[in-house]
Amino acid sequence: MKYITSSCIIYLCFFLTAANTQTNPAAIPTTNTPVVSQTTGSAVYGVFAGRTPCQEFLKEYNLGESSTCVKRKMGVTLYHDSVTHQPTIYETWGMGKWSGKGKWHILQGTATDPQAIVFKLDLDPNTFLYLLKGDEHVLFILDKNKNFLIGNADHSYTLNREGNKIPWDQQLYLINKGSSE
Amino acid sequence: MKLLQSAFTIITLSACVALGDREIISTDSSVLGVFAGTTPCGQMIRPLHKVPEETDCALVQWRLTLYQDPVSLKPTTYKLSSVNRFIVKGTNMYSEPGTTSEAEGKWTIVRGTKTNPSVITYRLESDKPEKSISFLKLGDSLIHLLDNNGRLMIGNESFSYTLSRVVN
Repeated sequence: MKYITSSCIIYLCFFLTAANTQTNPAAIPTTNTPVVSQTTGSAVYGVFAGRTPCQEFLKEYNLGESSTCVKRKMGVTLYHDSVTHQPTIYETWGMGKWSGKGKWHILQGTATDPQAIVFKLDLDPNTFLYLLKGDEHVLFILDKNKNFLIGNADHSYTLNREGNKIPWDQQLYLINKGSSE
Repeated sequence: MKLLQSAFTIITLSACVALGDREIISTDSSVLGVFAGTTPCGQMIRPLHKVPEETDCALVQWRLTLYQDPVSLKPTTYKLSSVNRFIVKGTNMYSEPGTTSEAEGKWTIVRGTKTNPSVITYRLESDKPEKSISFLKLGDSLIHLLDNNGRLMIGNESFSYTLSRVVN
């Protein structure tokens, strides 16, 4: 009887733990690359989004060919440790097979600017997404060699920090009045 | 036979003229670059595009040509063509055909901003200081609009304040 009671308690604890991790997306991420260490104090560093051209991104990140793809709505949420502010995990969307979670790091320097701050996202063990930090609010998507990806007359490879979501009616008013930035 | 020779001559001359035109475009040293992009319609850029403060305007399509002295390569003038559109309530589509505007003036290269003394900026001058705007040179093919404090302008989830080189 004691054995049965103990087993029930263990199963109950396991069930509660599993349920808790499902409602807390930052707790145990589904990763493209395994997240080895689990940070307990992850906080959102920023949510960045943009509508970019398509073809250069498809080619650069091996996403296959699609001649009809002219733009992509994509973005990334970056988490960092709430105490140390060290990068922890990211979550991307709108990036095809590279949408998902993984680890990210901060590097310094590109071929043309040794002072540049670059965010390196581990898409898989051999593939990385480089984002140049323009400032706290603007990121530029780079190619595999850390050069800028060049946009076109309609869109650029720039991601902007997102604010709080507001209802569409309010958003529409603000956009038309030019105060969305 | 003469007819054939004439036709061949005309075709050859046409090809030469076409190639010549392309050559002129690609080697025109009086043009530093043509930059284009679609940005939000922030209040700061409205005077340049002749958009009144209260007018509905959601985006601006830019085509900016920067001219330079072909010998000294120093900045001379710019020409800006733009189309602005608003989001039509109800359909949530961008207005057609949009409102066009043209602007031109002098531009200069300025080194440094309030926050970074080593960067290069392109400044579109205006007789009215509030109309002058600056771009950060990110590279030979990319420029990004700066606000009045020298910070990068922040776009939204649809459009950014980055212009890309489209010709040259």
